[in-house]
Parts: sequence; structure tokens; C-alpha cells
Amino acid sequence: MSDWHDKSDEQVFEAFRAEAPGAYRELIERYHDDLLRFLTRMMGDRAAAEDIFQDTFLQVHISAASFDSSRRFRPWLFTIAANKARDSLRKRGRRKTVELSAPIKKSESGASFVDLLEVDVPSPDENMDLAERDELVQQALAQLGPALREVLLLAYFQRLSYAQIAEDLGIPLGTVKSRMHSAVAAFARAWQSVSKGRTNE
Amino acid sequence: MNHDEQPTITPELSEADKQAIDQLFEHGLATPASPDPRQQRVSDLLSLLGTPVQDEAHRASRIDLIDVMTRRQSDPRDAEVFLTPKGQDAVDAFVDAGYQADAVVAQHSEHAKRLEQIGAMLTDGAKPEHIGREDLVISTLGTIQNHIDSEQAAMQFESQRGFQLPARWADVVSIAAMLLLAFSVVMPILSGMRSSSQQQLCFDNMNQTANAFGLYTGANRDMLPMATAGFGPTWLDVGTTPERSNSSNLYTLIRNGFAGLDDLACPTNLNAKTGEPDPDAWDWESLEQISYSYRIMPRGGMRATSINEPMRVVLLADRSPVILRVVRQQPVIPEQNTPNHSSSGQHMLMLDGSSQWSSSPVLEGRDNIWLPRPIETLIHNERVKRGIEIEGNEQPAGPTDAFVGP
Repeated sequence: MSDWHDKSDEQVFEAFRAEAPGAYRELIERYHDDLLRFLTRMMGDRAAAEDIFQDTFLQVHISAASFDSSRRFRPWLFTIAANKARDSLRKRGRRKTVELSAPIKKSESGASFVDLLEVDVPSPDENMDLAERDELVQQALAQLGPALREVLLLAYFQRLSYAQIAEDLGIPLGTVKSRMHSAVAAFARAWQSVSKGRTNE
Repeated sequence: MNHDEQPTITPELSEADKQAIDQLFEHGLATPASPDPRQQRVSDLLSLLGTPVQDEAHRASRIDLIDVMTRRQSDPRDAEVFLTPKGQDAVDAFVDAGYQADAVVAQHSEHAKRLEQIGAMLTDGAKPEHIGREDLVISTLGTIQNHIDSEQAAMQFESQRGFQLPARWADVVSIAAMLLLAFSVVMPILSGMRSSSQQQLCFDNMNQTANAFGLYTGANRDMLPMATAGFGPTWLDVGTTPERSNSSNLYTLIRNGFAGLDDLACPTNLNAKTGEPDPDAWDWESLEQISYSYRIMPRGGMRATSINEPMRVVLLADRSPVILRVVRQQPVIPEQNTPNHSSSGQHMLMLDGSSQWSSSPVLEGRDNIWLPRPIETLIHNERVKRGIEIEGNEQPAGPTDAFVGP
């Protein structure tokens, strides 16, 4: 009988390419929770995330022959998932109206700065209802544009270095850094806003 | 910032902004004597692009400003917020440390802790993902299987339809000659290796299962596997009520330890369940997980030694395409091969323990292994008006009538 417990993702994927029964199912089961959570964060709702989840594994199946077995499976899978999510969001959000004259909050130097130490982030052991926190995180993420949301989630879910993100997204290293800075700032500010709204209720 | 990398969402100006720009152009891009706030803002924006570059410092700040405005147009949500310089250094240090706050140098440790907490909020979630887990796994595998099926159907259609090349006959002949040469060398090796290795695995499964049947009947007074005595009447009902589905009869071999899930998993079925079986399971969870169809058992069961011609009784075969189509509410094609093995044919395990490969589901005497004799007779007499209907209560007409499912 097949026992996948001691096999790496790459070994299971190779077994799938060699047509071992159950190998592909094993990969789907392994990534079910992590990828679905990532996609729910990206898309903003579970139903859309499930659609992209299926599309992602279909794409992986179709592109199996092109996978370089000397590389890691997880970043490849997440990059495909992020591409699918981005395409879907793009279709959803095409033709947005931008109000140029909308007010921009500025500090004295002309930009709004976020100090992370002033942001009230609950620690994991803090007594906050998980479902409520989840909802607030989703609300905060919805305040970020897709590009910043993507870089923030890819970074945290995969724990990738800047160089790896740059390679996966095909963008320059400097761009990754500045996007990551902006993404953290934007999320911190958005979190502050939604969590304050909660305490004021 | 590389502007080429911005999302390709096409922003559209509001009508009021469009009018303000039109008015500015009408005034030769000069701000009116008493502009309204919108005109002033548009004017300020456009003037950014015309600012002369005086030195590197100005140039850098101008690029920053353009960057901010460009990002604002790409997505207004992201434009106006920045980390403090110390916060930026802390993010870099945190990423370099592999997202571990403990591994960050002391001067950034407070910031890094915050960043770690943000990460926990983003990645941990409230963990609702286990809900519907098996459903999503199965539907994902089903999506892939449907894709494979439609690809195969399209290939079959194409091969029947022929093809047309926008080329001269001389080119076609040369290309065909080269392809023929290449195919004659490569295809027998690749295709033969692939299909023969899959077929060999299936043959091995058949032999292994034949042993399991032998051991089971030996331990159960020659009775073939049966889940419960009250089996029926809708043997199509896979995974829900064990006293009904015919697959739960076959699963009895697994439940009682005579065979493993892997022994009953065809390598060409992506949905096949493998590994350690759930000790409480009575059946596969869905029709898609099943690789082999078992002879439909009569109520009260069937004794292996009660049949005179065991070599003519089909006990097990690659999964039935007819039952798959019935459950998916698609029209039944009686002479279709199993979806296993690229629809090229099916293995059959006979009651005497022998196994064979057949390129057609129709045996001697026009006995179709996917259908009971009464339905075969209706088809033969062209009395099927509204398509074949199978409800899950049909039975083989006699001991030698081949009929497997689900």
C-alpha cells in the first residue's frame, strides 16, 4: 500500500507523474487547508476561493510535464494559484472609476506614515473570538489593492525571501521590497481602522 | 517602482474629472483665475509631469510623487500610506530572518514581533477549512477527470473527422513521411511502455483481488462478498447506505482485511482512494473513487460453487461507463469501453480466477457486461424509445448473464 507520510511534496508529485495511484489526491489533501486559506484571503470569499482551488489543481495537472523537478513544488503551486486569483479579480474589477479629487490624507511631509509599534495587533494568546478576528482581517485585506494583497499573502504564506518573490512574480527586487513595505503599511493601517470600528460599536 | 508591473485594471476617470481636464485643455493647460477644488487638483497633478528636473534630490522626489499618483490611479486604496524608515528596515530584517521574530537583531525585535503577529492573523485564520474538505477534494478530482474525459473525446472526434492542413500536397507528404518515421521509432516505445505498465498494474490488481475472493469464499462457506443480507433495492447509492450499494458488497473484501484499497485502485483513475482504509468505512465515499465494478449481487447472496461454468461468469471488471453516465444523468452508450485505460478496453476477472483483456464490453452471445439481459433484448429489438433507463434495482437474468456495477 502507498504510504505518503515520509515523502516530500516533490516526491509525491514525481510519483503522480509516474502515475502512482492516489498521488495526486495526496497532494490535493496536503494543500487543502493552506491553499484554500490563502485563496480565501486573496479572493475575499470562500466560494470564489474553492473555484480557484479547483482551477489551480487542474492547471497543475495540465502543466505537470513542465515542472522542473529540481525546484520546490509549493512555490510553484502558490504562484499558479496567485495567477488564477489575479485573473479572476481582474475580471471582477475591470473598469473601476477613480475619483482623482478624492482627499489624500497627508502628514506634514506630504505622506501618511504608519508606525508599526502604534498598531494594536492582538497576540495569538489574546482572548479574541477567532471567527470575529478572521472577519476583521478579511475586511482589512479588502481595503488593499490586489497587487499589495498578493505580495503580502504570498510572502507570509510561503515565507519567501525577497529574491524568491521577485523570481516567482517576475518583478524586480526593488519593486518587491517597496511593495512589501507598502503592503505591510496598508494592512496595518486598514487593521487599525477596522479594529477601531469594532471597539467603537 | 516599475510601472509596467502595475495591475492591468484600466482605471476610468469620473465624469467630473473628465470635464475638469477638458476645461484645463480649453484654457491651454493654464489654471483658471479662480479654479474650483477639482480643477486645482487636476492642474496640480498635471503640473507634476512638467516640473523641470533640477538635481538628483528633486528628481528622486518627483519620481516618488509620480509613483504615488500612478499607484493611486491603478488602485486608489494603496496610494497614500508608508511605513516609517525604521519600520521598513524592520520588515527587511524580518524577511531576511525567514519571518522569525526571534532571529531578528535586537534593534528591530519589537517591530519584528508585530510583524509576526500580523503574519499569524493572516495565515492562521479561524480554521473553517475542514468543513466540506472531502467534497472539495472529490470535486477537484472530478474537474480534472472531466477535463481528461473531454480531451479524450475531442481526440477521438478529431481522429474520426480527419484533419486539414493549409499546405501543399508535397509538403504534406514530406511531413507525413517524417512523422511516420518518427512515430514508428518512438511511439511503440513510449505508448507501449505507458499503457502496458498501466495494464500490468491492473492485471496485478485483478490477480491480487482473485486471491482475496478465494480467501473470502473459503472463510465464508463459499459465499461471495456481500455487505449485508438486506442489500438493495437501489444498488446505485454509493457511499451513503451500506445495505444498498453494490460497491459496499465489494468493499467487504477491504473491510474484512482480505484486500487493500490499493488492490482495488486502477492507476488511470485519478479519484481512486488509496492508502490505509478507514476502519469504520463500509463503502467508497463516491462513485468516482471506484475503479472496478463488481457483479450485481442477487438478494440473499451468491455461492461461488453453485455455478456450472465459472469461467463464463464476470465477477469484476474495470469500472462501468454506463453507471457513471446514469449517475451523471448523461445518455448511456451501451458499447462504450470503461473510462479506465483511455477507453481502449477493459480487464475482466472471471469466477474461476482467470483474468482477461477485452477491447469491447460485449461478450459472446451479445452479452454486454454493463447491462442485464432484459435491457440488452430491448436494445436488440430496437424497443428503446427514450434512451436506456437504469434505476438500480435491475438484476442479472441468470448466473451466466454478465452484469457489473456500480
